[in-house]
Amino acid sequence: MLRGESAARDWADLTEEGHRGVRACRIVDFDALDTRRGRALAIAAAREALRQSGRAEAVDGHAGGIFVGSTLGESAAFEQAGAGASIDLSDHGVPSFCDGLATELALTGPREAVATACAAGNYAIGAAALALQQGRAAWALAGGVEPFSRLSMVGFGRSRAMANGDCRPFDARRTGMLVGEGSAMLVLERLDDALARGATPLAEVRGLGLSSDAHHPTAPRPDGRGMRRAMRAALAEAGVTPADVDWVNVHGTGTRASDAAEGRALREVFDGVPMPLLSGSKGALGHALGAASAIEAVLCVSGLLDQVVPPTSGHEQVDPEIGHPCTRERTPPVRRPMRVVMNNAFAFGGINSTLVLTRWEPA
Amino acid sequence: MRSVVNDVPNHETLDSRGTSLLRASLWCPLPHQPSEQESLETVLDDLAPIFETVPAVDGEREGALLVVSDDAGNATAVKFWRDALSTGLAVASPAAFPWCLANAACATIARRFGVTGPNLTWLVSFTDPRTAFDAPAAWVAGSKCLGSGDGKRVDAWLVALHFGAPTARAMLWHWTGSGADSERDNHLVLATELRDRMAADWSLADTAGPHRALYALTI
Repeated sequence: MLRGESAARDWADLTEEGHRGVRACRIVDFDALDTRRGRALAIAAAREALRQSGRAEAVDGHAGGIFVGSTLGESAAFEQAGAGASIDLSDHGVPSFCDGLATELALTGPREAVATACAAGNYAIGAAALALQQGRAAWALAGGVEPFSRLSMVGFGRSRAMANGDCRPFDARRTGMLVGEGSAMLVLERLDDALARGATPLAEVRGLGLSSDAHHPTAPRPDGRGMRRAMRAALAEAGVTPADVDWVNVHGTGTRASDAAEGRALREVFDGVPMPLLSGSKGALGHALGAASAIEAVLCVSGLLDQVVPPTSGHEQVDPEIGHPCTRERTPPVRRPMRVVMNNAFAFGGINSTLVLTRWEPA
Repeated sequence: MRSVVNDVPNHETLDSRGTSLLRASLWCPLPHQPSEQESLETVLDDLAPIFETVPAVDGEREGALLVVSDDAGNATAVKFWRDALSTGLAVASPAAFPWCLANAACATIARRFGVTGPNLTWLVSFTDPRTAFDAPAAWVAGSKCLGSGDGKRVDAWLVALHFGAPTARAMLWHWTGSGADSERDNHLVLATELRDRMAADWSLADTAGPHRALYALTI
């Protein structure tokens, strides 16, 4: 990420299977049963998060809730069922990720399986934050997971959403997205609880703004109205103004329509104030669909910790229609003091989400 | 008659302080169709009265739409891949692809009725209906659906969907509250009561059989 490079490559197995588009970002050297790959990815991510946080060793280590976002669940299970295999699909949907985490980690708190397509990670983090505010969970694992999906490769490819070559977020030459995969999990807890057990918070979850375009099954509103509404709602909940925002991690799929709408929405939200730094990750990592915004939330947290905004792989030429550049590919990361970051995530069905995170600053 | 609407007089409230109200419910069996899309689209008109109690402004209704389902997207995903294998991956029809995603039903309802607020879909198990309705009830009771706390009226529509035969059905509830509720400390009480009401309705529909009216939502 910090070198601005892309993990995308062409995959011989996809060529052999007859896919038209064969370029994607996939995790190599990760062994798991095809129909449990998502669960295994989620568990691996959760273990890293728990180790970093030290939460599992706390007195109430097993009382954590689980909040997971995804699109399809175990895509391979649905594909095998479509090919005629007898598979219990009720045990391979998004809730199966929560069940797997609960069993593997012996967690007894509430579970929510959030199925809000490519914005699901943001929603899951917001759901966890709400549960903490309401006292429904002592602490929470929250994030997203998406195993590599051949079904999505075909669906997006045949919908003409896939890139011809590389994914170029916000770039004038962008042609579409690339599918990725992965999982990211965060440990969320109430600030007082974290401080009481001696933990050092990495960042604060300050606000989640949500809206619906109510416009089209797959395309965003061209005027970006719904995206703008989500961003403004997030800022309002966070108690910050547009002028306070230092960095926006854009949704930036690299598709013509979505990036153009997001660009318009950004121009209106930041009208009259300097445009924050913009960056996007999908040129480097592909679009991990339901996991994407959780992965990008982790990038945001890392950026706040290190006070650095990564380059945007694939972004070279500013699109006049968008009017604002992202950080350029293969340029040094931008280092500057930052306190507030917005994480945008939008999805099929016209759903829009913006998560506001702030740097942890002890009182 | 395929569906039943129960409207509730305004004096019946979920909240003893009188500003949160579960106004109406609707229950309609979902006809068996090859896909979730076709199944849901046959009942959209039946859902209209519950949404249209809130006037649209420029075609939009500011409210939250919260959906729970145990199988949304499953049938379409399997059929989409079966068809893709049959026709060839490089030439598969993309038409059904959006309906492989569980949130397509929520998006369709939002589009049909112009609901532009938060739009959420949870995948749940209805084996324990109380657990199934925990999350949307908590969102309604919490600040996410209650606006800025300025006392402005807010609406939330809660939908439960099960597409699989033989008990395929859609249930819809309309909740109205006040933004001022977000300041309250009794949101857990409200969430619990709302969850239990929806769970009881869902369970009653399990045993009552199709076409029988649900009782009015008096709490």
